[in-house]
Amino acid sequence: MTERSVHLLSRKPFLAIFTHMIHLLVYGSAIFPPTALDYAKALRSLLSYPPHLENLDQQSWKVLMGICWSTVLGDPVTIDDEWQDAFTDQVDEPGPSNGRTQTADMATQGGANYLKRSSVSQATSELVSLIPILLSSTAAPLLPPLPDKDAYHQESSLGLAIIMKIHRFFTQQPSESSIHLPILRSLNTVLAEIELNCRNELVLGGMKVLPQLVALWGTRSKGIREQLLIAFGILLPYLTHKSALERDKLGVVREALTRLVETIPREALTRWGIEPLDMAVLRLKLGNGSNQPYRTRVFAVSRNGSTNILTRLARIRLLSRMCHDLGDPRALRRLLLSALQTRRHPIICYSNSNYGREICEAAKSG
Amino acid sequence: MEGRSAKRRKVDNALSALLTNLEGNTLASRLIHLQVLIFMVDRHWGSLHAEAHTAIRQAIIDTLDDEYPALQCWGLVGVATLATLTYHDGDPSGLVLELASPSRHNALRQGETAHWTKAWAHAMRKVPMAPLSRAASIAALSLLVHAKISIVEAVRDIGPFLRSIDISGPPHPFDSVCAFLTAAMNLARADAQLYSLNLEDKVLAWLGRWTALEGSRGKTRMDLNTPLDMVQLLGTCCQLQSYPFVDLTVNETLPDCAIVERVMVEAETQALRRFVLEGHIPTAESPITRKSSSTASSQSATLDGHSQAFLDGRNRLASAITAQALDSFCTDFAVTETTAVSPPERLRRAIDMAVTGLAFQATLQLHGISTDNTCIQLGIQLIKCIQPIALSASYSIPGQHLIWRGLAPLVYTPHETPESWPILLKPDVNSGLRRDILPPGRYASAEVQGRDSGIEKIQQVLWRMPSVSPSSIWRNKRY
Repeated sequence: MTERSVHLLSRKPFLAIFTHMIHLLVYGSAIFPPTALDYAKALRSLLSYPPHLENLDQQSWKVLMGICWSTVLGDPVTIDDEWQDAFTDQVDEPGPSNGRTQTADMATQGGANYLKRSSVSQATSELVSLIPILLSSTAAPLLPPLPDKDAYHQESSLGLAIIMKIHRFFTQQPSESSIHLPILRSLNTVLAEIELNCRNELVLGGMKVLPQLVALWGTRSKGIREQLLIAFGILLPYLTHKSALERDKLGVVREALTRLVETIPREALTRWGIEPLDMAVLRLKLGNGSNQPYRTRVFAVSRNGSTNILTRLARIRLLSRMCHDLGDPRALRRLLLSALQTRRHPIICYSNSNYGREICEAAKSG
Repeated sequence: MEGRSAKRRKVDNALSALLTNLEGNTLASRLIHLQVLIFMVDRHWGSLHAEAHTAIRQAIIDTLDDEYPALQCWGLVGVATLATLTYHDGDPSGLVLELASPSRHNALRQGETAHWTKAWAHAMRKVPMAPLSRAASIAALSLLVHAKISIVEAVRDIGPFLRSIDISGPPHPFDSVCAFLTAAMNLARADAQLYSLNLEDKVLAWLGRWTALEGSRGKTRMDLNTPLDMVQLLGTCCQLQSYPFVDLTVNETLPDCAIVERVMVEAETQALRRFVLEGHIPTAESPITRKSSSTASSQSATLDGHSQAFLDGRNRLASAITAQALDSFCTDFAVTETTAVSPPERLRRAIDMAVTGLAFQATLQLHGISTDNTCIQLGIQLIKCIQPIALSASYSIPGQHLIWRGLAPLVYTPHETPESWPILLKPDVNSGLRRDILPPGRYASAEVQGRDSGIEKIQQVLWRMPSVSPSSIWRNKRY
């Protein structure tokens, strides 16, 4: 019924249906199985219609988001609009021990649930597909409110909370599944939204999520690869900035970049790695060298380009950027200092345009 | 400091490791490394130090001697990219250059000159050869335009090349080949000795062997040049000044997908990002850089078509070449059934050819030379041939976009849209400046009026020709 009437509903009936469905979706502390799939599908068709999505007020938005995330992560499901995890800033803590126990706790908790649920149920995947839809609404409260001049601390935004949820999700389910793609898409939406508006939160969240994204790099799915490219493209300029690297005592960013760069020689060998660019795709003409998209000083993208080819191009650009970032001389000095402080053996040696060197190291170490 | 010397040692080791990696395993792997290197050179040259510059240049020059044509091809593209970089790109603050001694300057230059000479010789040799022709031309063009080789050397090589072009020239007028030939002919014209050889005739003879219908990739695949390239080449052969018209833009070629959207958004907000991350504020453009359209041609009575010079010599030959190409297209379309499904690329190629022909005739008229009516008639006839097929609605949206965009040079004047977020507002009332402080030209509102890119000239001339009128081209108005 909902699918047929979605275009005819105005605001009040929509909200009524919405509230009714939300309440019936949850039974006890989990999703009510008999109705779950149908209600989830009905909600999705409702919310895919943009005016309804815009009509959703912040309260209901938060509630639905909370339900979706609880289902995905195996937490007890409640109708509540305060579902953010308590965020501990692991990056600033001196030793890695605290951080590890935290993640271990979450992993065991998630792991127990994961064992119970060996495959992702259809209802869950429907609810997960709701997440990118909700995030694409312009009313989504991702950014924190502007700081009040009387307030002593800044409220953290929902954007960061969502990134933390995603981080937990990746910890629980490291191997690829069908719901990874919508999760990645929602990650990119959130990242793009907070990129220029809440830079600190981007750095905090990004550092958590980066190693997990790198772990997914060897995927076969083109959709996931595309989303990963976008995520790295957003995160790297901020995470390789000197202020971020100062905070990164564990060397998370360096390690992630090195692992990515090490995949370069293997790219051509795997069937689903990138292939080199074809000249027929390019238009060779001398440009003015300004940093415009899909243009260099010598060539620009021409016709015959397809999504595949553009993904390749983006990947090559990203790799070149990473090679350059790894060779940042200021970061080099900082890393040497921090390596001396934490007494870790520097597994990587840094210099400009040094990826060849790392590959030699990696080859030597086996 | 110990860290710095350690860094230098590691740099040498790392770069030598880079060279060995370029000579690595499979062709695909080496190509990927080379392409990553080229992108790094393009975007991040400024933050690499001098030894890295030299080593990268050496590595790219070495790929020119490789056995695989694909690597040589990309090596030439790398050479072209390197040639566009100047000393200033390597040192944005200018400090290093100021402090360096003249002997250091000379040493830097000498190291480079050997590379450039080798690259130039290689490129000139490869321009006539089929798989490398495009890349070699862009490399040679880049070296020429950015003055990486001396004029003497350039003239010495271009002379024999142009003289034998009708016998052993490039296989096809690609985009970069056209641009290189234009630059080469301009250089030859400036030299006393070469001027007397009338090398333009040789180029026209070479162009006469161009099979427009087949193109370089067959009838149904888009060719690697645009009408603008061809018209510029023809114009240079006939010693006519070329007028701009709408060319292929990058934005229209991009398909719809998530990553393209992200890249475009990133480009728009790049100024903001640089400000947030690096505290960089873009420098204001000076108003003098705004180009004023050339006034040389505006005074002649070219728009009316009276009192014109007779069409002869090279102009006639060039018109004949385009007429012949148009004729082959018309015949091809006359043979096929109107109900048969044609791929959109075929239609677009035909439209491109018609645009080339008509634009060249318009250029002739703008220079006061009478036009070749046969050519114009053939152009219009070709468009009429395509019309029934194009108007059928069975093409997908990208296909339709491809076809209709082909007519853009004839009808469309692009407006400049701002591409990125402004960091600093231009001076105007909105930014709080009174109107009487700065000279009138410096205000933002003044720029809006003075924008005449000269693109309309070709269109104005074309639509005023007696044989060209909207009713003769489109029989039934669709919109």
